[in-house]
Amino acid sequence: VAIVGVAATPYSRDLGARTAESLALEAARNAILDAGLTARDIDGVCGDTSAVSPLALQGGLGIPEVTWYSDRVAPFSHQLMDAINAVYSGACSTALLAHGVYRRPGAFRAELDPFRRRQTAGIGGPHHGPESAFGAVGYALWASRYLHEYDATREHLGLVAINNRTNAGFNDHAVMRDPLTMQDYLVARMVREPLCLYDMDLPIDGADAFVVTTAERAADLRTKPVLVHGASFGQTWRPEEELTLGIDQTGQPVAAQALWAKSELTLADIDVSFPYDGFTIITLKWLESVGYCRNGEAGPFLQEHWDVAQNRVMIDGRVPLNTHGGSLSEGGTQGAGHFREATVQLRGTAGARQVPDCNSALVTPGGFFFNSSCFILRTD
Amino acid sequence: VTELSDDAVLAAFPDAPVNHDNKHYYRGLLERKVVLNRCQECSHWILPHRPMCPRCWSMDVAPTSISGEGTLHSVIFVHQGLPMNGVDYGHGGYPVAIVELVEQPDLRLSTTLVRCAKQDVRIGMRLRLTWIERDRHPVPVFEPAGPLDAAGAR
Repeated sequence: VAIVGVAATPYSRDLGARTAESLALEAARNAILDAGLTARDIDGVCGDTSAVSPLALQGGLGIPEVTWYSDRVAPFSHQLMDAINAVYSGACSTALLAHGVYRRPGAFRAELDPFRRRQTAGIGGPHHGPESAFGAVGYALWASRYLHEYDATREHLGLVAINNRTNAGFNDHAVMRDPLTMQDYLVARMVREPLCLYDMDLPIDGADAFVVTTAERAADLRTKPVLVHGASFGQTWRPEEELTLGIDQTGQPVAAQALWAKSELTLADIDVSFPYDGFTIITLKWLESVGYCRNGEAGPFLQEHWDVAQNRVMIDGRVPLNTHGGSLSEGGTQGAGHFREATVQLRGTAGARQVPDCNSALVTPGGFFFNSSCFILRTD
Repeated sequence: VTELSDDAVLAAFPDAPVNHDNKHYYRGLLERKVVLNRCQECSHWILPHRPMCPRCWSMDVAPTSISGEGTLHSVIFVHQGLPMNGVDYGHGGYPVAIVELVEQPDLRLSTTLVRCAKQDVRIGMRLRLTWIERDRHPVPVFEPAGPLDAAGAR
């Protein structure tokens, strides 16, 4: 199975009078064009519940008939896994996936738009008061626990934010591109203490889309195929934020062990890595969960592999992290941006930020509780 | 003692996802009790509120009051957020705390802290259940249990 088409709309803190559906359709159209295909070549569609339904995706683009459709909640890895399985099983041969993000109430400036106020509040369940540990609060609570258990420091979290901001400086698509210093990080205003403004991803409007097809078909298309080498999900029986068994017992190690069990590759084969960064604490834990270092050691690991001249991480002097700037600096798209950048890097079309001889990418989207996933994408 | 009717519980929590598996929890709140489902076969406490014991698969579960004793597992201070009744994001932030109950390892509630200055908050400190009023019903919260020791921990 291969990714053969990819596209995104601009990302912005304010795209004005655009609907989520209009962004998703624009990205979807351009992903099909990127693959050199037409609406008639698409026989599967996958929407995401927050931006565009499979019905709207098919109808909006006039895709005459499909034999597979799916509608998934974020993060984007849910959609990609669905499409991989559908293409591999033969439910369809060429699937279109669209993923949008659209600032909602709770992303404060969006409150000013009365039309947005009527959007539902995303993927959460019923709101149960200011003491709820759901979502962002849960990540801050486990960051607090991580700092406590491992005597980690805010500087360790700050290195994640600085790395991603440095990388975003080479990405025209990124929303936040001004360099960030450790001093900037340490004095930034607290939001969910101990997490500050720069520990959280960036609410934006935007959409990404992908075309996924069989490796056989991919060989005949105009773009360089990006092959799915391995994919895994991970979830424990205690995914609720306040009940999660421990900071080292989340879905992340479950997904990572499942990935390495089915792949003949090791971390040494990976040329670029995309640990998810919806919050900085998630990146630290992904580095530990996939095996770059032991539990509790991600901060010192980042310090050890910090390239001072480049002001970013280069693992063993070779492997950068989140070359596009990630959700922290490019814009928060629940992993869709990470897959787009991995695809671009493996195609060799990343321009100023191209990783030399880039053949294998590790993409680990999702957080701790109910959406951890691991993918390896390859050029051959 | 007459138990509050289901209709009274539903009326008291117009926005809450009350169902047959968690209604005893909500009813308990109105009586200033934290009531959780407990397995009658193996004594396991069950959270989230579900009708089956995940340990022994018994469906014989009974709503049971907790002791109210626990320790602070983790805590954050929320400095900004949507306006909510009774929530002050100023003055060092609104504490959101996870409390591990003495009844069982990893049995935890998400709650807030009262009667505890920010500088006295320590992960691991002993806490006990107490109550505040919000939106016309009692809300379970936690306060320090026992005096500070010389190191400032409880």
